[in-house]
Amino acid sequence: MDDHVTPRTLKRVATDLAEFFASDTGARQLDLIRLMVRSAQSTSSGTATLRRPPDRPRRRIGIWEERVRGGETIFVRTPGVEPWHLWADEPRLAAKRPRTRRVVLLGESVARGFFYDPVFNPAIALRTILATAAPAGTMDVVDLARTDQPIGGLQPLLEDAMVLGPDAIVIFAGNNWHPAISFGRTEFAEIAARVRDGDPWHQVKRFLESRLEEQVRAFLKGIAAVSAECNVPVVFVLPEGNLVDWRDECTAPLLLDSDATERWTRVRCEAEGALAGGRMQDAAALARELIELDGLTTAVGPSILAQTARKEGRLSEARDQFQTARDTAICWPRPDVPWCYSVVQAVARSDASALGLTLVDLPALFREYLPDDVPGRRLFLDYCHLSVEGVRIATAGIADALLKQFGASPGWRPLARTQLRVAPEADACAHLLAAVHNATWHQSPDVIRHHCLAAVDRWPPIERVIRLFLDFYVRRAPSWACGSFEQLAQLQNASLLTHLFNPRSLLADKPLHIGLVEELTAAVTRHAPEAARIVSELLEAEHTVTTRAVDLLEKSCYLEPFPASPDRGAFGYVRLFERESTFQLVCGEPAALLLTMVHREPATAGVAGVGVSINGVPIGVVPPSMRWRSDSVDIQQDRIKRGLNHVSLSWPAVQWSETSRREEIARRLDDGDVPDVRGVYGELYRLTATNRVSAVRARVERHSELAGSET
Amino acid sequence: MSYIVVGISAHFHDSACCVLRDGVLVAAAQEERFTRRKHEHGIPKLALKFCLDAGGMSIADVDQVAYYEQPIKKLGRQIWTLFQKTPSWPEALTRLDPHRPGREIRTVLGYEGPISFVDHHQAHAASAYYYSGFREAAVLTVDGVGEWATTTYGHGRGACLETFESVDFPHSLGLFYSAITSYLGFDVNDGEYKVMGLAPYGRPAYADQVRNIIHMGRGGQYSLDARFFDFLDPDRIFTDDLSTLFGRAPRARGEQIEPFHCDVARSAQCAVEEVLLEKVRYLHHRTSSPQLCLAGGVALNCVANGRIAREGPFRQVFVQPAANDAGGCLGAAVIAQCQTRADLPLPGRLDDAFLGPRFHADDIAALISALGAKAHDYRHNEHALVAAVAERLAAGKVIGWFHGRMEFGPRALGARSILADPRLDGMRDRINALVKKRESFRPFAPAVLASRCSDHFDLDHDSPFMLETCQVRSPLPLPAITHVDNSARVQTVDITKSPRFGALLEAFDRLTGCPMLLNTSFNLNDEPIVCTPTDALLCFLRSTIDTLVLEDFVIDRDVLGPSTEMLFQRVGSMQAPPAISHRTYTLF
Repeated sequence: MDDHVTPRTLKRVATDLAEFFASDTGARQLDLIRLMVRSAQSTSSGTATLRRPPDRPRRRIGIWEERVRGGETIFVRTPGVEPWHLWADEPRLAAKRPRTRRVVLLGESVARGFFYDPVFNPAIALRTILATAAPAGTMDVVDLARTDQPIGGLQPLLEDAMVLGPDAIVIFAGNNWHPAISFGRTEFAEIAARVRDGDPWHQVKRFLESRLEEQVRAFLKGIAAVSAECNVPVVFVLPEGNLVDWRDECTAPLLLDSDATERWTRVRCEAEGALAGGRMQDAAALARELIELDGLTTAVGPSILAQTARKEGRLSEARDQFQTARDTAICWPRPDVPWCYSVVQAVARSDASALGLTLVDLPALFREYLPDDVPGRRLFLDYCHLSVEGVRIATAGIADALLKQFGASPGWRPLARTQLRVAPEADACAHLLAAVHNATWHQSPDVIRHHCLAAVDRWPPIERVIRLFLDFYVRRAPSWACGSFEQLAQLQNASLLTHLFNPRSLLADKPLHIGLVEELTAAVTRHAPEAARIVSELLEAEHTVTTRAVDLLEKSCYLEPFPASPDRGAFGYVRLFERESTFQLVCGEPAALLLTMVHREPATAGVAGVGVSINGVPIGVVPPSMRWRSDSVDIQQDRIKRGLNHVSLSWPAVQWSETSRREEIARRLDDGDVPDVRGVYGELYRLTATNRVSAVRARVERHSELAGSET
Repeated sequence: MSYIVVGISAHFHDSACCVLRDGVLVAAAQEERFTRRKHEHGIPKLALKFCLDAGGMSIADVDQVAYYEQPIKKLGRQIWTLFQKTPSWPEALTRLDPHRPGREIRTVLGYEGPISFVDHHQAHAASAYYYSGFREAAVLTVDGVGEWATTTYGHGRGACLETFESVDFPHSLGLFYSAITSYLGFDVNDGEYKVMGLAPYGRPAYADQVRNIIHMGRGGQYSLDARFFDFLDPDRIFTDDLSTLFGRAPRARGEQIEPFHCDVARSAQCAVEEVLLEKVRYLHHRTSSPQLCLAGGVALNCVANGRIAREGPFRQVFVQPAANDAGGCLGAAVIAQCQTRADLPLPGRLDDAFLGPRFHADDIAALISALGAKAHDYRHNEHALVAAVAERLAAGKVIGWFHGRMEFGPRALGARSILADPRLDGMRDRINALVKKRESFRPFAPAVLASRCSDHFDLDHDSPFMLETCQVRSPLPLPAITHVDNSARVQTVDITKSPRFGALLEAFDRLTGCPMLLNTSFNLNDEPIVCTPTDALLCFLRSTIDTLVLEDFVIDRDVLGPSTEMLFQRVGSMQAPPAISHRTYTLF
C-alpha cells in the first residue's frame, strides 16, 4: 500500500474533518480533545510549585536591590520592578547593626497598614511596642509587607529576606488565600465536570475548601523548611476579619433551580423582615430554611442567625455563625473580598506547632481582648484592614510572641498599653478612605456614616479634603481629569496619595454612591454649611436627566448588587440576577420623562410582565418577552422629585432550563472563564431616561443628521 | 420598516463592525477604539453598541448579522496546517473552535436573528467594490489568509461580484510580508507599516534571495517556498532557513536597526510591488476593466498602491479606508444584504471615513470645567477657532485635533489627528521622539487641500484616505513629510467633505503660503487612536503636544500647572498588576 498522500487529498481530508467537527457530534469531540490538551498543558501554580526566582546579577528583595555602600551591603529601592506603592515607603534597607535583634515582617495589605500606610502601619507599631520592652536600639523591624501579596509570593520573599540576617521572621498573611487564584485549566475543568454532573454548588464549595487546605498545608511546610534550614524562627500571624459589620451577601443563590431560587428569594425577604421587626425566632427559623436551600453557599442564612444570636446575647453562637457567613465567600469562583477562612485557620492551628512555627492566633487574641463582643468596626475599618486599636492589639500579640522567642515577655496585655502615636490627620484620612471603600462595596449606611463622622471628629480640617473629594467624585469626568483631584494630590497627604494613584480606580469608570455623597456632605456641613448646596448643585449639573438623556445602565446609575458579577463587561448587554433591579436617577426641576428599554426575559415562566416603578410607586408594566423587545413608559412629572429618584424593574417569575444553563456554565469554565452561576431574571440592552421635550428634539436632530449624511 | 444589517469582523485582529440601514452605511468602528487595546480581536460588543446607538437603533431592530469569514472552511485550513507539522498539534488544537463566531454573536452580543457567514476574501472584495461607486470594476484582494484564499481576482458588474481565481494558503503575499516583519524584529499584524517605512532607507541588495522565496506562477498564481515559513508559530512565522538565506540572525526587538535590515526591508517591499504589478496586469487582461478595487491587509501598503496607480494598467484605483480585516465587516454586510434583500440599494461610493462616534460640545464643556484649566471657548465661532489654531501651527506648535465623527480604518484623516507645520526642520524627529514616542525612521504624511495638491505632489487624482504615495515636487521645503526617497503618503482634503479641517488648511495657507499640514494619528505608540474627548485629553497630557483642540475648545499646554503634567506622567506609566485586589481596592 502506498502511504503517500497528495496535498489535494490532505486538503479534502481536512475539509471533511472540519465538517465533522462542525456537526453536533463532532463539536463535542473537539471540545473533549481541547480539554485533554489543556489538561495536559495545565500546571497549577499553587504552593506545591513554589520556586525561587531566577538568579539575577544583583540580589533583590521585593523592590529593593543589593548595593555595596561604604563597605556595607544595603538594599536600595529600584524602579521598574513593580509598583512601589504596594510596598513600604523605604528608600533603602540598611545593613544589620551589631547587637541588634532584627525582625523582618512579611505580609499582605493588613500588614502593610492599608488606609494608614505610610504614616502608620504595623511595622511602626511593632517597633514602638518592642522599644518599650527592650533596651534602646536593640530591636530593628524591617518592613517587607506588600499589599496584594499572593500566597505564592511569600516563600520566595522569605528566602530572599534571609540575606538581611533576621533573628525572627513574622508572616502576617492569610487574607489573600483563595484557591481559585492559582487555578489552572484542570481545576476549572474539575468544577465544570461537577456542574455537568448536576452537583449542587455546595459540593463545589467543598472542592474549593479542600484545595485551599492543600495549598495552606504545603505553604506552611515550605516556610517551616526555610525556617529550619536558615535557623530563623518564624512567627505566623493568623488574621481575623470584621465579622459583625461587614456583609458579604448575595442577592440570589448560586446554581439553584428556578423553583428553589424563587423559594430562597421569598424566604430571604421574610427572614429579613422578621429580623427588622424584632421577631428573632421567626428570623432564625427562616434563616435555617435558607441554609437548607442553598447549602451554606451564601452568607444570608448564617448572617441572620448570627445577628439574632448577638441580639439575644449568645455571643459564642453569634461568632460561630458570623464565621460561617464569612466562609461562604469562598464559593464565588473568584474572591471578591479577602478573608481568612476557617479552613485556613484550622490548618494553621493544627500544623503550625508541629512544624516549629510560632502561631499568633488573632481570632483568639481578639476574643480575649473583647470577651463581650464579636470583632467589628472598633477593630476594623473594612473587611480585614485594622483600625489603630486593631493594629495595637495585633502587634502587641506579635511582640509578645517575639519577646518570648528572644527571652521573656511581659505578656500581650501590658504591651498593648503602649501609646501609639498616630497623627489625627492620618486617622481622619483613614476613616475617609474607609467610608469610600465601604460604600464602594455596598456596606450599610450606618457603617459609612460612622467613618464619615469619625473622619471629621478626628481632624476637622479634613473637611477641605472631603469637599475636594466630593467635587471629583460627583463629576462625570474621570477623577484624573478633575482639577479638584489635582488639588487633592497637591496636599501631599501620603496615605491619600497612595490611593489616589491606584491605576485600577483612576482609569476605570466611576460609580456614584449617592449614599456616600449624602453622608460625606452631612459630615462636612457641620463645619461648612454651604457644602450641601454646592454638592447638590454639582450633582444636578452633572447628572440631571432634565438636560440630557441618561443611560441608566452606566456605572453612575446602576450600582450592581454586591458581590459584583464576574460576568460584568463580558456581554454587550446587562444581565440581571436579582428579582428586582434598581437604578438611580438624578433630576433637577421635575419634568415628565420617557423611560425607554430594550429588554428580554429569556426564561420567563408566564404572562406576568416587567413591573416598572419610580420611587416605589408602580407606573407601568411592560409585556415579558423571550426575545429582545423595545418598550417605553411615560413617567408623569408629579412622580419625579428633585434630586435622587429610584427607578425599579420587577422581573417576572422564571423557569430556567437546568440542562442548558449548566452546560453554558460548564462550557465557560472549560474555556477558563469565570461565569456567574446565578440565574438570570432579565436582560437589558438599553435603559434610558429622557426628558420628554429633549427626547423629541433629539429624534429630530438625529433625523436631520442622518438625512444629511445620506444625501 | 427599515432593514438593518450588521457586519462583523472579529477573532483574529482588528475587530470591527458596521451597520447598514436599507443599504446606507450608518456607522462603522473598530473595537480597539473602545477597549483601548490595539488590534483588539474580541467580538466587537462596544463598537456594535455605538453603531446601533448612532442610528437610534438597538439589537432588537437588527434583521441580519453577517460575519466576515466561513468558520468551517477556516477550520479545514487550520486542520490542514496542523497536518504539516505534527509536533505542534497540541497547542494549536486548543485554538480550533468553529462555533465560536456564531456562539459569541448569540451570547455576547445577544443577537437572535439569522447569521450569514461570508467568505473572508469575498467580504474584502465587497468592501472595496460596493463602496467604490464604480458600476463595473476589476477587484483584487490580497492579505495574509482567510479560509484558504490569500489572494483573489474578481470582477464586479452592477450588483454582481464574482471571483474567478484565487491563490490559496500557504502561498500568501501577506504572510510573506509578515514573516519579513517578524524577521526584522517587529510585531506581526502591527509592524508591517514599519517595514514599509524602513524600506526606502535600504537597497534591494537581497532581491535575488527574495526571488528564492516567492516564485511567480502563471495567470494570477504565485507560490512561496515552504522551507522558509512556519505558520504554526504565530509569533515568528519564519524558519531558521530564512536567517540562513539572508546570512544573518533575525533582529531582536529593540535591537539597533542597521543598513542590513533596511536592505532586507527594501528587497521585500520591491518583491511585493513586483508581484502586485504583474498580477494587476493579469487582472486587467482578464477583465478589461478601466477600474480597479483593492482590499485586504496588503492593500494598506501605500507604496505599492502608488505604483499600481502610476504604473498599472487601470485608469482609476479605489482602496477603501479600512482595507484590512477591520473593513471586512463592510463587505460582509453588503453581501448579506444582497443575498436576502436584493431590492435594496447598494451603499454607493464611500466619500469619507467619518463613520465613528462624535461628541457634543456640552459634554466637552463639562470635561473642561472639571479639569479647571483655562480653555478658549470658540462655540459658535468656528472662524475664530480655525484662525487661532492656524496661528499656533504657523508658530511651530504641535496640535492635537479632535473634531467630528471618528475615522474608520487605521488612518487619521482630520477627525482624530496630530497636526504640525510640515516645513519645519526637526519637526519629524520631535513628533516621533517626544509626541508619539516611536521609532525615528518612521515618516509622517501630509494632508493637503485637494485643489492645491498637484502644485506640490506628483498626484493627479484625489487620495482622500491617505493610501498611496507619490513623489514630492513642491517649491516649498517640506522636510517633515518628505520621506528619504522624496516620497509622501498624501491625503487630499476636499473642503466640502471636511469643512472645518479644510478651513484650517486654508487658514494655514493664508498665513504661510503652505496649503498642507503634517497629519498623523492622534495616539501614542502602541495605543489605539483616541476615540473620546477623555482619551484625547489623556493622550495630550501624557505627550508633549502643545495645544489640544477638542471640538470648539482650545487648551494650551502652558496653562496647565506643572503638577498636572507630573500627575499624568504617573497615570500614564501605571499598569494594573494582577492580584487578589483586582476587584477589591476600588476607592476612587
